[in-house]
Amino acid sequence: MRAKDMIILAYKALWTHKLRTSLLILSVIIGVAAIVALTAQTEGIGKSIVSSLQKLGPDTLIFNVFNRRLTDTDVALIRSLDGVRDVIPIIRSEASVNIGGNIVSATIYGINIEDLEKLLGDIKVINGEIYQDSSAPMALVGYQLAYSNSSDTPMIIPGQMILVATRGGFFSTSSATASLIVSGVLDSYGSMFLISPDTSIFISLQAASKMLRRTWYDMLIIKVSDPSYLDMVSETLRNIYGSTASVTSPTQIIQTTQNIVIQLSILLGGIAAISLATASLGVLNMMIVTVTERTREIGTLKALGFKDRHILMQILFEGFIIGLVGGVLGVIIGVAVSYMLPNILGGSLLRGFRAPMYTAGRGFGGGVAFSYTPYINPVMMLVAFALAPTVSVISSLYPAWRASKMDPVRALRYE
Amino acid sequence: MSDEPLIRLLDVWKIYRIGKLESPALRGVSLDIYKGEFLSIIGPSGSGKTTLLNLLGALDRPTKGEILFEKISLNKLSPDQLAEFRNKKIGFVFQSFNLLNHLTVVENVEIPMMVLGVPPKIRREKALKILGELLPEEVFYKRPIEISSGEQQRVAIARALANDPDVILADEPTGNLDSSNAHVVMRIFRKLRDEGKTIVMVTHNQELTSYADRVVRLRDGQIVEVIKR
Ligand SMILES: Nc1ncnc2c1ncn2[C@@H]1O[C@H](COP(=O)(O)OP(=O)(O)OP(=O)(O)O)[C@@H](O)[C@H]1O
Ligand SMILES: [Mg+2]
Repeated sequence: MRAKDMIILAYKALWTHKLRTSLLILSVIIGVAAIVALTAQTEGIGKSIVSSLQKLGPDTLIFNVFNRRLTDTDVALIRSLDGVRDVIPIIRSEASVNIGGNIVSATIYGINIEDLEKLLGDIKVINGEIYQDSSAPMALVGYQLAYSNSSDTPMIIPGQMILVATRGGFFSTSSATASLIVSGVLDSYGSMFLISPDTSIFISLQAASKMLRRTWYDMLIIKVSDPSYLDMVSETLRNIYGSTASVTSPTQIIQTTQNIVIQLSILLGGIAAISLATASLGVLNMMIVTVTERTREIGTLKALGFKDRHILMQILFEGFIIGLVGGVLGVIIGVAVSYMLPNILGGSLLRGFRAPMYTAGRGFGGGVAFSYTPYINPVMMLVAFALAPTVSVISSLYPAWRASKMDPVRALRYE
Repeated sequence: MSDEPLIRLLDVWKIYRIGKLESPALRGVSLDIYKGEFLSIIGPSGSGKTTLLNLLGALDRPTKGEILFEKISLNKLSPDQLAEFRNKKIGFVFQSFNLLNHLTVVENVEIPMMVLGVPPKIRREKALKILGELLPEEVFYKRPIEISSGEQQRVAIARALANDPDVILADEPTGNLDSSNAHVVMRIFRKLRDEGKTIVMVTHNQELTSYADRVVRLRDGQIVEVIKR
């Protein structure tokens, strides 16, 4: 008997029970789609974190001390260390900003313009111009702050004066009110590690120092001459500053992030696989029912010359078709759902979830949702797709075997 | 009818075991069936008629004794060989037709040829040819449930004839038919007999035995009478 004929017979047998078959295919679709969609989220989030970390470069260390203040003396000292190429001092303060009558939270960064360029990779000004490294209170405003309501009409335009009330830095409890003049508006940068340009206001170091009336820095970003010096420089810094020194390298975080993402993928993939397992129990259950219902038909087919293996193959093909159709549609729907999920999750669940460090304890009130693009791993997609028919055929094995072993005499007597 | 028996049953026993209980359905049946004869088997319910037919059709094996088909013992054949034997040499006709309702009439007739591996075009042609002699054309592409029971049984006969078998085995083929359809089926069998087919038919209907060449009466799993007509 030709395989093609058996497939046609299997297909026609399935088609007689349209509703039953469709529901079964649906359960397979859900399983496959869940695997594809959920793993796409974790991989997408992971990749997004990693790429935002990578923007800082593999030669970067983020340095902070919690029991004293970092001043120009520290900057000079660290600059003189072996393996250190550059030190970027940053002043940072949370602030409330009055934008068109609305009080909005933002982060103020005091950073020299060429350092800002190193940090952002590229200063993309969509309106106005950059500030100069002077004590003039000129500011570059993040995209989200300027276009908080609509993407057409900016709330802030260059030359405009904005009122900010700072809430102090790491150690400061004092607050100050100052007015800044907008020099330009930045383009959207999306989510980045360490800094969220979209909800930040950048001013020069001097201006920040003057506005906050302090000469110490909140963090230093250290660039080493070569990534291989990262460990050495970290070690030196810890020796100098003791246990309260916090030295973080994005490379380390990338490692940790990737590990977390892998574990999360396994967890979510596992949960999704459970739904596929449930679907396979559905296939098993329905096949047992179908085979019992079709006892007479099986007896007839045997009388007409079907061998045991013909019956076996016929039932297996039925399972295969369910798995194959479920797999194909499951992957398609899984991909579609993958791209829909960030809008659902990103809008609520992951709000404020950003780079893992430096955000703890101090909420970004900016309300920028964490944005990421789901990543459809082709291997994962293939695995999910191949899993469906495999699992479905395996579930059909026992019912198929039972059908093939049916005694035709009894089968024909069956009412 | 030739002198050489096509099928020989030699002291055939069939004992069903249900748990510890042994119930003998056939107790030492010996019978020669000749090529081209129309044999009818009658007997009360439970006398072993269906059991005998199933053994002739190699759907089951005797507990004791031997069945020879063209001098070859069916006991010696493997399950796969028995399936091939049923496919090529035997055509079954059942009381309740046993057509596949998810296939069309013509597809039902094609099934035995499908098993044999006949290419689609050739088997469709042959199925249509066989159907053409038994049924009006408008039923060929209908589903079995859409046609009358008389027509359904003729489809089943067409299916039994698909691989041009030597023997037609019919278990109460008229049991679900009205009298006029029953006579239609009988005339078809009679015609097939004239064309050289061997027909073995189980029936309850004494009147229909008049179409047969010989009538075998069973009681309690034994042949009690053979009537030649
Ligand atoms: N698969 C089976 N298992 C157990 N006993 C069976 C089986 N098939 C038949 N029998 C028994 O064997 C005996 C003969 O049955 P069989 O079906 O051959 O009778 P029959 O002459 O065809 O009867 P009917 O006219 O009712 O169809 C009966 O007692 C029946 O109960
Ligand atoms: Mg019977």
